[in-house]
Amino acid sequence: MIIVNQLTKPYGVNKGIFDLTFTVKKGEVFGFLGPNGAGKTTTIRHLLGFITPDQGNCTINDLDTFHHAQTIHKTLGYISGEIAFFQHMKGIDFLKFMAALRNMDSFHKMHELIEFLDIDTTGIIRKMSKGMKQKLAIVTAFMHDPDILILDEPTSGLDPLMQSKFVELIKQEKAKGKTILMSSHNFEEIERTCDRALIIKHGKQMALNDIDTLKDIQRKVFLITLEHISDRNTLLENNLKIVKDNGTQIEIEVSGSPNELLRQLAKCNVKSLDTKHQNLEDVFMHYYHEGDETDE
Amino acid sequence: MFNLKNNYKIWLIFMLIMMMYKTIIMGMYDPENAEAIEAMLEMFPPALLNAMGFNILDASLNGFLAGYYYGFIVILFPLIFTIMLSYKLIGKYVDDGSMAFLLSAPVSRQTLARTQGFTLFGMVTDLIASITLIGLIFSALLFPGELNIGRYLLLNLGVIFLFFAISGITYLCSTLFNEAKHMLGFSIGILVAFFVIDMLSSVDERLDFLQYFTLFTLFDGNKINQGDPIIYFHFTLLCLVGILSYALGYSAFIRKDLTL
Repeated sequence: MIIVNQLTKPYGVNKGIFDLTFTVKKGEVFGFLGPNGAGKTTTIRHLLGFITPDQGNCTINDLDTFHHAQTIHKTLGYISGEIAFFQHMKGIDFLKFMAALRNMDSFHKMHELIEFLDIDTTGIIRKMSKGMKQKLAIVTAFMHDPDILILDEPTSGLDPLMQSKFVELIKQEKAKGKTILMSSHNFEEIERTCDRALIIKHGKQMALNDIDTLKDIQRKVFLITLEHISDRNTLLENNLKIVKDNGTQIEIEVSGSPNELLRQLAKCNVKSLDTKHQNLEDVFMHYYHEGDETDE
Repeated sequence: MFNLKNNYKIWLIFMLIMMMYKTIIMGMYDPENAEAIEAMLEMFPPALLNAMGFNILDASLNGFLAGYYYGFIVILFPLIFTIMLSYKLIGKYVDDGSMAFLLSAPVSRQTLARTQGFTLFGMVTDLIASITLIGLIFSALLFPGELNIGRYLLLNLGVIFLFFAISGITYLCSTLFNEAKHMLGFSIGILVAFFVIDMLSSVDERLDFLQYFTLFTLFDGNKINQGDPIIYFHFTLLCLVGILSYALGYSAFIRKDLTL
């Protein structure tokens, strides 16, 4: 169980983390969402015992994360947000080196993961692609079958196929009862894996909800192209939230269920229907506006 | 094991360079004709020779080595080696972030700081000891019976004390800071400052007072060679500097925030 209690660590002006409190229950997959610079990595550094808080504290299995780092790390797997390997080593030598430091006696899981993620471990790390390095880091974090996993943007650099495989891996680990905290700036990824998610901005807690609630709040923008301009009024006259209106091209924002939109669209002659690609800003707009109001 | 594998190559390079210098300087020694070398040296301005630490007080092989080899070269090369090694043993892993893997392996900070400290001083001592041994063998071959072995060993013990203090300082810089530019900047800055002050203080008598502001005053090849009792005081001070720096570096490292 991971407990973060009123954790505060300011860095300069408006940077750092402020009064963060949350608990990751045993067996739970916990998402940690926020844009770059929101304080995700700073929080994770505390959990790994790399830095000490100015105020508050955090514990893993009731042990202080700074003073008992070594004990905690025995059953913890970690992927760093900015992975730095021992560049001159070969992939397999690096894994063996880490396994030796961990006094691992079973290499079964290591080889299983190498195969599952399709890694070529014979090359020198310095020459590997970003994705390959990321996969190597995933193996390092999972190979000793830890009870707790702390993953800082674990899928960065992975192609979509690998991202799906990673989601599958997380689901397998969850089924085994592992406690997982993973940070991301990708909402989809968190949505597919996590039970609950914490959203932070400027180091402050914006929301802590279970994933279904977040889905309801999440806004999607549909891009609709109509066959005839006459159908436009059908859409405009209803309670739908129109974001953009270019005649036959209309953008409509939907929070939660798209049922109402679909009912109305059924009456129209639709040429094409698309969801607009959502970046993080869109997804969190709800919280960000709230945050801005209290900031200013 | 991990450390040695990665660093023995540089160790070997420094060993070879120093071995070359030492054998060349020994080869220059001519017990019959010490005046010839003195005559040659008179062509150089005395201030330059003093600055470089070339200062011969007696014409024996020990005196010759103490003046030439142990004045300047014995400091310069291990100095560069020590700075490089302290960075590579600890600093680099913190600077590039790869220490995250070591700490989550899990290796405790205490173990890391201790192992790397011992490795640092161990490898520097190894370097000096190997050169000492090579000097012994070489002098036995070239000038059998000429070398006062006791004095020669005492001289090298002095070098080891000096480098206990110097490696302490570079260790402290590597453990205290989080970024390479600060680690290397301070290590090099402090030691180069000591070096320059040492050179200046021997150039002109009016600058003699400067000798109290440099660590290198605590290692004086000629004084050790003459058996001046002040050297034991010097050795004690060097030891204190070393112990203090290593202790400070260790305690800083196990407490500090690591931006990994």
